Formats: sequence, structure tokens, C-alpha cells
Amino acid sequence: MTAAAEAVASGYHSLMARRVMVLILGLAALVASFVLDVATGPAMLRPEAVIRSVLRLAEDRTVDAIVWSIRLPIALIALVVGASLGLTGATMQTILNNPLASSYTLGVSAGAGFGAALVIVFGQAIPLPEHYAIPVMAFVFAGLACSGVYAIGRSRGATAQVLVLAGIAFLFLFQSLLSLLQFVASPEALQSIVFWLFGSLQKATWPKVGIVAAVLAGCIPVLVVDVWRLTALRLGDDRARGLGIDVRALRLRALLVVSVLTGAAVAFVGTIGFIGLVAPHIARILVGEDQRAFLPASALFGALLLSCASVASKAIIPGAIFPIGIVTSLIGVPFFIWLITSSRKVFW
Amino acid sequence: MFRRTFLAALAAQMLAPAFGAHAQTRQTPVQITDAFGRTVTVRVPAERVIPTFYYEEFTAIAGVEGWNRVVGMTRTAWESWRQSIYNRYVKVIPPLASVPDIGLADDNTFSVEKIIALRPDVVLVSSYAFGALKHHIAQLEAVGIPTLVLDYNAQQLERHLISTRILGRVMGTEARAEDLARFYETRYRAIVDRIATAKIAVRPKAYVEIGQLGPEATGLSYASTMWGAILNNLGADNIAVGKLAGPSGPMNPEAVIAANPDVIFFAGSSWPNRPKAVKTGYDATPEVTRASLAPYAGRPGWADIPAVRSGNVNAVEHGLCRALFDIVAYEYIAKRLYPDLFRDLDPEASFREYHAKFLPVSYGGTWMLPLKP
Amino acid sequence: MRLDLARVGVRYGGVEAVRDIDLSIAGGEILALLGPNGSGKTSLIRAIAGLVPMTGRLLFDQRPERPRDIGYMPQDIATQAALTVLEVVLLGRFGKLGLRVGRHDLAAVQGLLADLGIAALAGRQVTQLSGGQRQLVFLAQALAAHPRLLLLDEPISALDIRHQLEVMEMLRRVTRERGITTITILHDLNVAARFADQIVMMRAGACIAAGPVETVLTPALVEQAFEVVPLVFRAPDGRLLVTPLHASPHR
Repeated sequence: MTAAAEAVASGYHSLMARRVMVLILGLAALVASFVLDVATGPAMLRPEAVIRSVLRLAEDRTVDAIVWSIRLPIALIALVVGASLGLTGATMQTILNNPLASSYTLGVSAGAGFGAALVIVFGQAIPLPEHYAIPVMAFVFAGLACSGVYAIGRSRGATAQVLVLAGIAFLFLFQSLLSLLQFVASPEALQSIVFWLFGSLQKATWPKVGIVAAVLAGCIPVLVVDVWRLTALRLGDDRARGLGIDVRALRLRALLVVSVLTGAAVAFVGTIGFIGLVAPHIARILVGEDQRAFLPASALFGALLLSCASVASKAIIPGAIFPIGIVTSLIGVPFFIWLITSSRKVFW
Repeated sequence: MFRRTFLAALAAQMLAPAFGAHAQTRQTPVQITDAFGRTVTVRVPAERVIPTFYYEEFTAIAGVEGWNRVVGMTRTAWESWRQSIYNRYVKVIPPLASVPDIGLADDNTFSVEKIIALRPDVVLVSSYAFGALKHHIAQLEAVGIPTLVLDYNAQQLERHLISTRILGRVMGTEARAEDLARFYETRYRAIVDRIATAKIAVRPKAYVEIGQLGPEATGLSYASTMWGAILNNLGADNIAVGKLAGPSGPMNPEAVIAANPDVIFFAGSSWPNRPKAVKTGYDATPEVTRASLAPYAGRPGWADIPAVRSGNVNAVEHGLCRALFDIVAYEYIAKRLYPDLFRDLDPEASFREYHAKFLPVSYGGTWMLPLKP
Repeated sequence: MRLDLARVGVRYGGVEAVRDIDLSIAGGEILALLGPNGSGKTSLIRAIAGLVPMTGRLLFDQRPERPRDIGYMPQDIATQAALTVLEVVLLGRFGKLGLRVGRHDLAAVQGLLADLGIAALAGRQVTQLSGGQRQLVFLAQALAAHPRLLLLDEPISALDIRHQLEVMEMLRRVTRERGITTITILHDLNVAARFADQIVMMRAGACIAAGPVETVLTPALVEQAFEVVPLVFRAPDGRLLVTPLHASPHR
């Protein structure tokens, strides 16, 4: 290779190395946040006690109960839900060609909220015990919203515009139905609905963590296969199709993955906003839109954001837990604004 | 011989606390069926207990000494919601001021973690919060902390009695609990039986509303729960039945006027930051109560309602509802619904007696009052 | 690659954008597609690229299956993608890329960047380039997969005259050396005159003339297509130059 060629190649390799570095640093931050999340909580346990419990060095029933049945599931669900939201947000922004998109744009969150509210208001009519019924119905209705968008999209060529419009239609549909439910609900049910909509990590259990993790693990390979197609999609439908990519099928596949993953995440923690919106933007600024780096980075920063929010929600009122959906908005929005105004490289 | 008996009695008295203390550290696991029919194994008498509501009942049944064994509570439900009542109790129950807060179910601050760290023998939750706490209760169960549901909210005799007896069992004060149960049941049955025997031809139409936000706003009314249940138990024709979207809710003001109720009750209290509320409670005088009630009776379109014309607009303390001393409210409401039938009842005297026998604070203030004296 | 079109037409809804196009082009040739705005040039190119449904027949080396290695460069050069120049060009090799970008992928691309004079821009964000620079990047992308058929929609519209010259010379060289078929839409008649082996002149969806430069770039045909009265003259070195004098009087 000529000198110029060498320069190009080495430039590319150092670009890749920089991205790997970003991911490694992000991972380190994630580990730190996770540790902090496990170490803090309303019971004000001492750090040594927590460490001993995690490493199973000593047996203190009280500390073990708190660490293993409450704190670890919560810290872990923050990671897997955050990663899911970051990943689906990144995918949505790519296939809808829209910087404001997240998996909620499809009406998924509104559908899930409606499903959960149905259980809360009419719980007795459903044969399942409530703590199963809510996630199941939330997932089912999230799926209904996505299927609706899918069906409309499929019949109209699955362009970004059609999907966004269909998503908005279902968003409004389910929000109106939700308002109707809130109108007839008793005050207690109303409270429950409102808190479900705030989102909460507090109801995490090991099985729930397992389910979300399994869904995430299952969806990742499906996205990996399309990694170059999604990158090419960033250059426009025309160019992508000129490269031989079936753009319509790509969008529908991605839509399916997003609905399943978002549905699973939202079903267990409610609608926690801004993670799916902000994490991809951070990823984009730090590693660009080569999806081989963009998707993992979005997942990583999504997990990091939610984990930090979990820590923050415990720090705001010592001894109590601040609703996490409010924390993600209060932290997410100013952070987002700072990101946009201070960065040299701004995309969109 | 008398002296020997006297000395024996004295010795027994002095040794009894020692025995008592020894007995108290000996706990036995028993199966208790709570107000929701859940059968739970609890070690009684409980050494470390966490009540979350119904604090006046807890105090009546477990006594001031019971509070020495309370390791956590939902402070908001007493300190904020019933501030003036709390302030009186905290003066006579020293440990109360520093009991740790484990959070409230209503605003999602209920913390399983905190409860676990306090190592209670049992947690007592109220029926209305049970729905929101299913997950938390399951988590506590998983680490061996039992939860019992008490239910004074249903306003049903059976639930009142069961909850009272459960509290007695848990705290080891069964005798007191029985006293209270009997106090309640005799009075309750007396009222209800008299109404049944009287075979009232036309049921009086009654309307109840929480008078908290001022006469311009319409407060919550109740169809079948809380005050609605009390009205229904007393055989009144509760005009809210069938007109609310759920078990409780604000009635349409037009519907209230159209229904022409014979008796109207406004549930008041001493809520902080509610200047337009109907004022009742320990710190209210009859003049203050009447002054706060009058604007409500003066609502537009109300002048011709039978209840207003006859002066049968009443203030009742909202805190009397869903409590063991709701029997006092029953007596008062029965008197207002069927004045001829219940001339002999004196609710104020009953409440005075309840305070003297069962509560550590002294009776005072205004709790139930008609607008027209 | 040899490309044959038989009675190719494109319809959007009720509107016929392209009608009845017959043409043949051999490998190693540059065909310039000329015509006024709205004459169907872009639709025709998109039909050949397989982006829009069409009627009629397309044969690639006398076979109806569309090959995978077609380099297509759309007209639109605006982008908001957070990608470097090198990444954009590498995407042209889609279909050959594995999860890791290998040495030969990089090698294939770097020569192209050098030929187009944008090697120094390899690490820059595509959104920070000028319009002309971006156009070169997208052209490189179209060439990156070593296609046998190149479809270019106004590939030099944003370039200065020096770059236009360099790019067209490069295209001619690449077309000849590798025997690829290049179809390019151009607005500049003189560039077409200088570099095209064949010209197809379109108007209102139909082909009004096809053939070598001399036969198509006549005053009559230019006027018929563009509704301008042109001056067509031959420079001393033999090349044809066309310049518009004034608009045609309306009939």
C-alpha cells in the first residue's frame, strides 16, 4: 500500500480503537453505577455489610434479605431495561429517520399503560393474580399497538412517515382510552394507575430480571444480522435500496424486534421516559452511526442512564425513593439540552 | 389471716411484672385469620410490630404500653392526615415522636427495605392499602415477615370485631380487645335492631359529602363504602347510590338538588391548609364548626332542600369513619335520621365514655353538630 | 456489461413518467441521459436500478435477473448521518462486508478515494463537508463495490469545473478499463458532448433521439427537447460545443 493508503487504513483503525475505548469507559462507569445502586437504599446499610452479603462471605439474614431480594434485582433490572430502551430507541431513530423517536413513538407506551390500567381498574374480572396480570396485559396491549402500526405500515409501503403517523394514531387512541379508564376509576385505582405511569423499578424480582434479559439476549442477534443494512439506511431509502437492501422488510423486522423488547421492558417497570431518546444521542455523538458501535453504545448508555437515575432516585430524599420516571425526565432533559448546545459535532 | 392474704397479694403484685416480662419474651407462633380471610402464622404476643393505619384503635387496644413495642409506622397517615389528633396523642405517648417512618402506600414511598431492616414480628396493613401493597407483602413474606390485614374501612360489624380481636391477639391484650368489642357490638346492635323493629315506612333521604374544599367545589360522596356504608347500614336512602362513577366520587350538584335529601352530612376535620373546610375535632368549638358549615348550606339552589329548610345540615368528623369509635357517628346519624326513635341516645356522652375507658387523651372539642342548634 | 431496454415504461399512479424506451448499451461505454426537468430521466434510472416498478423488459448481459453489483448514485446529496467519509464509502461494499471491515475492503476503497482526490477527507464527518465534497464521497460509494453497471443521477452538479473535469476523466477511464456500463444524467450538454459515447435525449417521458453525440446534439433536436434556440458549433479540435442563445418562441 502507498503512504496515502496506509494513512487511510491507520486512520480507520484508530477511529475503531477510539470507539472501543468509549465503550470500555462506558462499561466501567456502568459497573461503578451498579455497585453504587446496590450499596445505597432506604435501609442505610453499611458498605462493608453489603459487600459481605454480595460475596456471600457472612450470613446476616436481614442484610441478605435486603441485598438479594430487593437491591440486586432492582439494580439488575435497571441495567437490562435501560439497555433495552437504549437499543430500541436507537433502532427507532434509525428506521424512522427521526431524532425524536423512541420506542414510545409507536404508541407502545400508551398501549402498555392502557393494559396495566385495565387490570388495575377491573382486576377482579381477570383470572390471573394481579402481579402477573399487569405485566401480561401491559405486554399484550403494547403488542397490539405495535401490530396495528405494523399492519398499517405493511399496507402502505412501510416508509418512515407512514410508521410515525400510524404510531401517533395509536398513541392517541390508547391515551384517550386510558383517560376514560381514569375517569371511572376509584381514587385508589387512579393513584395506582398514575404510579404505574410514572414507572418504578421497585417491583423488580429475579424472574422479571431473567425475562427481560432473555428477551434482550434473543433480540440482539436479530439486530446484529441487519447491522450493515441499518447503517446504510442512514443514507436514505433510495441509496439503501440502490445497494440492494429491501428497506420495507428491514423496517418491519426492526419494528417487530422493537415492539417485543419494549413491551417486555415496559410491562415490568412501567413507562420510564427519556432513556430511549437520550441514550442514542449520547451514543451518536461519541461513536457515530456505524451501527456496529452505535447499537451497543446506545444499549450501554441506556443502562448507564437508568442505573444512575436509580441511584439518584434514592439520593434525592434520603430514606425515601423518588419516582424514577420523574428523575429520568428531570435529569434527562437538561442533560439533553447541554449535550446539544455544547457539542461540536451535532447530528440533526 | 387478712394480713397474710394482703402480703401474698402484695408479693404477687410485685412478682407479677417479673413474670409478665418473662411471659412476654416467650412467644408462640399461632395461626391468625385476618380481616381478608388470609391465614397467617404470627409469633404472639408481638415484640416488634409495625402498624400502618388505625392508630387510635391500636392505642385503644394495645394501650400506651403497646407503643413501646412499635418499631416502625406510616407516619404520614397520622401525623399529616390527622394532625390535630396526632398532636394530642404524641403528648401522652413519648415513644411516638421518634418511631421510624416506613413510608405510605398511597404515594409509593412504602419501603420494604426499611421494614426488613427493622426486623418486625408482624406488619399490620389496612384494607384500603392492601391492593397497592400486594407485591410488597409478597416480598416480606418471602423473607419471613408476616402481614395481617385489618379492615375498619368496610364499615361492617363483623370486620370491625375481627380486626379488633386480631389486634388484641397480636399485642397480647385480648381482655381489652374483648371489652372494646363488646362495647361496640352492644351499642351497634341496639341501634340497628331498633330500626329494624320500627319498620320505617319511608326511608329518610340522606346525602353525605366531604366538606374540604369549600362550598364552590363538590367534595366526594360515597355510595357503598365509608360514610355510604354507614348510611346504608342505618337504612337511610343514600342519594349517591347509582349516581357515582365508582364506589366514591363527587356527585353532580344538580342531582343533589333534584334528589331533595331530608338529611345532609358534611364530613369535616382539622385538615391543615384547608381554610374553607368544615372544621371539627379536638380544637373546634361549636361556634367555629357552625361558622364553617354555614356557607355549605348556603349553596345556590339549596335553600329549598328539605334538609336545609329544617336545619338538618350536619357536620361530622371524617375521622370518626373507618374507626372503632364510628359507633359514636352511628348514634349521631341515627338520631338525625330518626329523631323520634332515638331520643334517648347521647352520642357526645358515648364519646366521652369511650375516651375515658379506652383512650389516653381526654375528650374535648366538637365532633358532630347540626347547623341549627 | 451489456444492457438492453425494450419498451420500458414507468407509471406513478395515473401519470406516465416514462414511456416506451428502447435502447442498448455495451460494456465500456458512457451513456449520457439528457433532457429538460421532468422529462423522466430520474425515473428511468430508478427503473433500471430496480427502485420503481416498470413495464417492459430489462436485460443485463442478455439475462433478466438484476445483478447485485450495480452502483447507484441518487441525485440527493444532503445527509445527516453521523458517519465519516470512509464509512460512507465502505458502505458501497455492502453485501461483501462481514462484521469486521477487512484489509482488502480498506484497500479497495482507499484507491478510489485517492483517484477522486478525497483521501485526506477520509476521517472527516460527512456532514461537515461542502456539497461538492459530499458529491465526490457518494460517487466513491457508488464505485466502491466495483460494479459492472453504474447509474449516476447528476453526479457532478455541485463540483467546480476543475473537479468536473477530473471526475469525468476518471469515470471514462474506469468505464473503459473495467468494461463497465455507465449511464449518467447530466445537465451540462458540453460535458456530455465531450465524454459520452452515446446520448439519449428525453422529453416528456419519451426518447426523442438516441445515438452518438453528433447525431443527437443537433440544433433541431436540442431545440425540440429544451425549447431553447441553441448555438452548436465545432471547436478547432473537433469537439462539439452547445450554448443556448434564447428561449424558443411559444407555438
